[in-house]
Amino acid sequence: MTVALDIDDVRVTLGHNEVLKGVSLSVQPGEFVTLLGASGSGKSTLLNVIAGLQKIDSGHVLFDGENVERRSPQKRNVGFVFQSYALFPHMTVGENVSFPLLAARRPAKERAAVARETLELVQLGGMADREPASLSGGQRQRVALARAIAANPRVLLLDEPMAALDKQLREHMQVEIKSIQRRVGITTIAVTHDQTEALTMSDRVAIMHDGCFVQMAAPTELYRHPATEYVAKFLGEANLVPLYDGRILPVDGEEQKTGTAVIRPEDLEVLPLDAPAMAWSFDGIVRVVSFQGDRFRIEMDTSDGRVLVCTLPSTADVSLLVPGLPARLACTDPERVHIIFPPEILAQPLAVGSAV
Amino acid sequence: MKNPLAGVIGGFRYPVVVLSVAIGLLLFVPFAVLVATSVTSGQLILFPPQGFSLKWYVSVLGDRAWTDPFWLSMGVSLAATAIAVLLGTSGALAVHRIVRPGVGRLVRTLFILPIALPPVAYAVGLHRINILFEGLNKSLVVLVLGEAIIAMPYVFVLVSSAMNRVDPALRLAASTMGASWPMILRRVELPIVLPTVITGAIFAFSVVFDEVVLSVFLTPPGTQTFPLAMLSAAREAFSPNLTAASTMVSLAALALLGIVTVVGNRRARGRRPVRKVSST
Amino acid sequence: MTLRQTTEPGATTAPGSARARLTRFAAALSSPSSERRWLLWPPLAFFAVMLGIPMVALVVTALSGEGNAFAEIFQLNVFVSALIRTFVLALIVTAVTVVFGLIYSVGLAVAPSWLKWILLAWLFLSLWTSVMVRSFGWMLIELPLGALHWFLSLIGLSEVKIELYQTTVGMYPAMIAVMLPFAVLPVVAAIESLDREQLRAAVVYGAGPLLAIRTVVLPVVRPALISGGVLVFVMSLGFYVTPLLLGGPSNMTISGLINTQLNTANRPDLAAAMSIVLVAATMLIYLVADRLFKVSERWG
Repeated sequence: MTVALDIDDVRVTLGHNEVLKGVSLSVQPGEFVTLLGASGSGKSTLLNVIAGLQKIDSGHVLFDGENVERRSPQKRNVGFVFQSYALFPHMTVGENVSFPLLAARRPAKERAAVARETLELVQLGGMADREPASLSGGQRQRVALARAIAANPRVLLLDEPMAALDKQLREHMQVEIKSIQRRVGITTIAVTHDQTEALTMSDRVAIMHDGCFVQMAAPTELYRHPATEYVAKFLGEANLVPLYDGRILPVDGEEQKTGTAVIRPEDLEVLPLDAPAMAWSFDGIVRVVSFQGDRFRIEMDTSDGRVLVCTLPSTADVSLLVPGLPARLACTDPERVHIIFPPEILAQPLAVGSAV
Repeated sequence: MKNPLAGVIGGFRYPVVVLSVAIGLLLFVPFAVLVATSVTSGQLILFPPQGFSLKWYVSVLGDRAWTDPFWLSMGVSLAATAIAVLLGTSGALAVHRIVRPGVGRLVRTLFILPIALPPVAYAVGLHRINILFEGLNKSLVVLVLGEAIIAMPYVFVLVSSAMNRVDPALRLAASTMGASWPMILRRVELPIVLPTVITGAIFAFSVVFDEVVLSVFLTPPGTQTFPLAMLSAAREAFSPNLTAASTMVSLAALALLGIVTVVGNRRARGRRPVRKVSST
Repeated sequence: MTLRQTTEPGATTAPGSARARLTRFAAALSSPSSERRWLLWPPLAFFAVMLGIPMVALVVTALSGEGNAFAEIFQLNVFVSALIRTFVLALIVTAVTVVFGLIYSVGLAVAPSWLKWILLAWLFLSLWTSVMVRSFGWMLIELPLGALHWFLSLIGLSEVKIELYQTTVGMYPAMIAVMLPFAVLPVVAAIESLDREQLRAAVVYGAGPLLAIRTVVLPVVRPALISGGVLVFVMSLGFYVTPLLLGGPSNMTISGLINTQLNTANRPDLAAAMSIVLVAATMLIYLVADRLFKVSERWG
């Protein structure tokens, strides 16, 4: 029972603080969309709006075109995985998972059967009689997920689902949740402040900042073609280089001098100092060379007072890079350089969500 | 597991410990003297006691002047406790549903207020009700209701702090799963706070059982509650009967409250891992 | 130093934290429905009836006498002196109890563990037994041929004539002992909640006992001392049983005087007026203290 979800111009004010400033979002049936943003960006509020836990000042929430914004959370039929999992400590795992059916007053036999099936789905078969307190963090998360999907909800909502897990388990569960979601085929909205998590799990990622969407796109698109400097810096590491004389690009036939170039650290390479200068080469003094296991990370002070970051494979020869000595970094493939134009120059079709 | 406070206060540790023991004797010695005088084989309350005998205990247990008040107090305390538990728990659950912090603080203060109520003044007020409404003064209605007010804060405080330890997401989770509020109350909140409610009931019972001032003013003529019987005995016939009776109710209270506390602590320790919630 | 990131159960939550937000949601969830009405109104109605009617009855009684009862009581020497005596008594008991309570709580934390159990047992012994029983114990100590007399003769001081029973001096130890647990409990909880790493840091950086206590211990313990003190003070104002048993007629507190006016002097109007004054003063002090020091928030 998967649905299309539409958020239409939703506004929420808490006290004097406008938390959501008219956000709109369309999610396809079965799609996995992650809301990514710093704390206070409004992402959790939006999730609570979808669940009905937060009232809205104006706007609409639609499940398959049907207005639900006036419905109480009890009547929306959503599955919600809380950051703390919110497992009922006095119930067994099975009772937790079948709670939505208890609320719907289904008979005990059906409840037990659904609990068993759903626990199988999250690979916790046979755990129905355990107490939540006796489970590991990862198992508890699976129980919370099972409980959220047990009653075939229309939408699945995940609020920072990995926050309580340690790093290794987190990476494993990201893949796991994604695969369960795909198997069940349920429309899913997740909230996180962890960019890796967002990129790993989602079909699309929506970056939120200050109560608005900044950009919404598929993970690769978002990483390769950020719409704003905020997005570029928020997702991974980025070198932001302003355009100026000598480093300009023709746009619609005109020479464009204002804008910012985004160059990812892995797209820079080391050139010999006597190589011919090119559009995207930078001279400077090496500041730090650090070995990080799978790669080297180099920081360089450029002559115009910027710090450039470059990563090289761990097999690279870094003997020429000595802190305190000059070096030249360059992006030899201009295709890899993404330009962000200031809003007034940005043509309308290039707006949020599409490639430049 | 030594408390690092010991390291912090350094040389002050020894005088502090010695003073603590001295202060502790203020708490302990009177009770020890009381118990000692109750096992005397003599006719008078004397310290040190003369010989050893439990005859005063036998005498109290067989004396209707003591047993009647005891059973009356049991009845009054049970009735008052039932009211206090019902309303105190209900209030504690309600306070956690109040949205505006100012209102919540006000209600919380109101529920704790009876702790600060001067018992004699309150008793005089209740006494006037008994006089104004004839017929009431032959019953225990006003006494029971008044004791319930006095016991309610203890239930409220305990249950409310238990509610503070409950993950607020539990209610949200239950409501997204379609549970109505009576169902959340019955299936989620009450089962979780039930051990605390029981603890609160036992504390409330003990408070009411020991409370004497309302009894002084509100007990119908010719009847006595247990603490009132003790007070009269202390002012009229100060005999080992009194200390034997005091010792018995005290030991009963200590045993009951001790068991509740130990069991409660053990349960809390077993539950703790579930409640660890990490925040962003 | 890293800040602790886990939200401990019962910990005070910062307004912006995730837990605080959830709590707000959880509260707001019930705002339109009938649940608050069903849960809150019965106890509130009970309060209104059981606190309101006695207070109205007191006012009616106070006004039903021949003269103005309020004017009359303030012209009564016994009342004014009892009023002053009660306040002084409450102040002294509170001050001593708070100091003793602090010492006892610190003692509980730093004593060797065998002694800690004894101190704890003594504390709960007096917390769980009735005020009246404990007052009986003090009577037995202070009576002319009581335990104290026996003890003094035992150590060869039988010549010393002690007169404690039914004196002002004799009243204090009993009242302090009766109130002590209320001052100890909040401080024990506060000392338990001290950040052990901060304490260790203070020692590592070479802070002396006084500096460490002032900078690390006191800020945490002070609110507990205040809330314990407020509670003891307010309860001491209503003291009845202990002064009755140990203070004798010359040391009557307001509560004792109210009882005399009602049952001996047969002046219910004066008793009611005095009750109103006592209730008003106590409530005023409690509410102001609550507003200033958030006493009731520390009680759950």
